[in-house]
Amino acid sequence: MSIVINNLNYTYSPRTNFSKVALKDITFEIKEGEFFGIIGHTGSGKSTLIQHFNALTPVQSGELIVAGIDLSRPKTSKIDFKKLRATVGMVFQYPEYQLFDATVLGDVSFGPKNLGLEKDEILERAKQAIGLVGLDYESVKDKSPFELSGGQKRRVAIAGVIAMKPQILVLDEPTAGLDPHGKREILDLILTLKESVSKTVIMISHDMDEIARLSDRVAVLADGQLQYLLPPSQLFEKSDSLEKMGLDIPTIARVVKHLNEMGKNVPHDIFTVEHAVEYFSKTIKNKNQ
Amino acid sequence: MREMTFGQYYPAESVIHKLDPRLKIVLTLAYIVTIFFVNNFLAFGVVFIFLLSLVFLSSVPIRMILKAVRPIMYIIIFTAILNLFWGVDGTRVWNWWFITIYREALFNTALLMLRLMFLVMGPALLTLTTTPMDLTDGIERLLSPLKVVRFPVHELALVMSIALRFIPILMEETDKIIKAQKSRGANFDSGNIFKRAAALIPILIPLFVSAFRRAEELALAMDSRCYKGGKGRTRMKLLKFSLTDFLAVLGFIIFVLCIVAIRVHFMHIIPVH
Ligand SMILES: Nc1ncnc2c1ncn2[C@@H]1O[C@H](COP(=O)(O)OP(=O)(O)OP(=O)(O)O)[C@@H](O)[C@H]1O
Ligand SMILES: [Mg+2]
Repeated sequence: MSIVINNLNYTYSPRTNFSKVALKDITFEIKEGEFFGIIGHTGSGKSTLIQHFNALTPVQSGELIVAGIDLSRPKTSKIDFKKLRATVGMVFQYPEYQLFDATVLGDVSFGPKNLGLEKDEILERAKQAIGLVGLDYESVKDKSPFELSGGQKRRVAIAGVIAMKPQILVLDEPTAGLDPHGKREILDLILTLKESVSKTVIMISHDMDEIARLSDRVAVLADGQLQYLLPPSQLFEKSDSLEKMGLDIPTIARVVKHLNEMGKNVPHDIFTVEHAVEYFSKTIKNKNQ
Repeated sequence: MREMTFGQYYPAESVIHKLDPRLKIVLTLAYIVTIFFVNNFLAFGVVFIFLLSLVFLSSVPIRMILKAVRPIMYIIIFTAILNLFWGVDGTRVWNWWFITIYREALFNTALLMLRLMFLVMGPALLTLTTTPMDLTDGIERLLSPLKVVRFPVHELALVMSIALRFIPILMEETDKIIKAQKSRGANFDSGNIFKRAAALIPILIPLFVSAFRRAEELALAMDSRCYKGGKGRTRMKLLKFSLTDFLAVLGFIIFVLCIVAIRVHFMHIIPVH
């Protein structure tokens, strides 16, 4: 269930005078069971890259193998789209804008229905998905998705994707536009999903704290090129070059950097709140003894 | 999707781009009328030279102008074929079974094709060298005398420019929604016609919802900036006639005079029955 990317290139409107190169020679691999983060400035090609993963954007040049399905160029006609889209679930930016059905249940069932599943199975999956995203099935199933709150709508939209039980879950800025509380809830939800349904999670985010806390490895894109592919501990040491790419570092990493500039000796690989609390309470305890 | 933006404006810094939009609209209309008076090849030669020099002055690639003709190519060919078999007397040039083609019909068809092509190219040059905003601005100004009879000119122009402004945005939105539903396994290109129509519902509903949302947001934004219609509203960009505008009028008059002169003196360039 891995994703292998080899020399992937993509140009929007090729051979016109407004052609736009969005991806240049991308090569890397996403392993099964990984929490994979993707960061990069606006327009760096993140969305373009992930839309390749379930063939919404056709491969122009290079090689792409997703969960054993070859999406590379000449074989495109033979792709089993149903199987691919059941394997790779895609949660778009602001997914609540794709809700359409009269009821929450109807909307969440859309994906499983398209997979051609049995009626009972569809209902079962929808029920499970709505429960998983933390909504009360009985009270929301007959509601119109349009009368829910923004955060609830987003949950319904995510439920619509996970009802297809994708082994690989791809999320494009899932927390954009939510308040801190809503953000935390969505992130916790993603972690729960990773434990149960989707073993592999790929997440785009502009929030470095999120990325630092959740990712096993992080890919950094800039102007369509892969700049770094590192675990967060090594990535956020490169604060200077990240800044040059218009990217932030996690809040805690910034604090650590300041402390070190002040002459304190704090290890560089501290970049989450949990880790920092642990480290500093230990140091303070040691000092007091 | 993004390249299909309406209006196909080609950004460049040229004298044609800088002409007053009102003048460009009026001259384009006059050009269309003139084309209907052209009825021989010599005059079309003049039109050709006139158009070519405009294209040259505007620094728009000729390719872009020809692109404008492409969508109506089928109509042109279809009309031409009909027209070709229409003529029923004159000099026979070709005969096969019950089909006879006459010399006059051949000439008329050629003229018709030229006329249709040149008809499209003029307005194409207008939209290529004028931003949609300038265009609506120009139309609003040209129609402003109608305000006297309480015709809502300003409101109409506003509706038009908002519509133009939102076409690319809605296209992008449609693209996104289609992708989102596809990734949920939606299938838009198989099944019978009813199935296909039903498959559009998951696209159209989110699209309408988002269009209404955007409309509401826009209305709020305009309201909160005290927009209250055209009455007493001043303008940021004042349109003023410049020397180039006068030269353009002069050039156009010379062009029309040439056409008229040819029509009067060289009727015989093609035989007209
Ligand atoms: N449909 C399209 N047509 C033409 N160009 C496009 C299209 N979609 C994206 N682009 C361009 O391709 C580049 C990469 O876009 P992409 O959406 O992948 O960026 P992104 O990294 O997801 O940005 P963001 O963080 O803003 O979502 C951008 O420069 C963008 O302008
Ligand atoms: Mg994006």
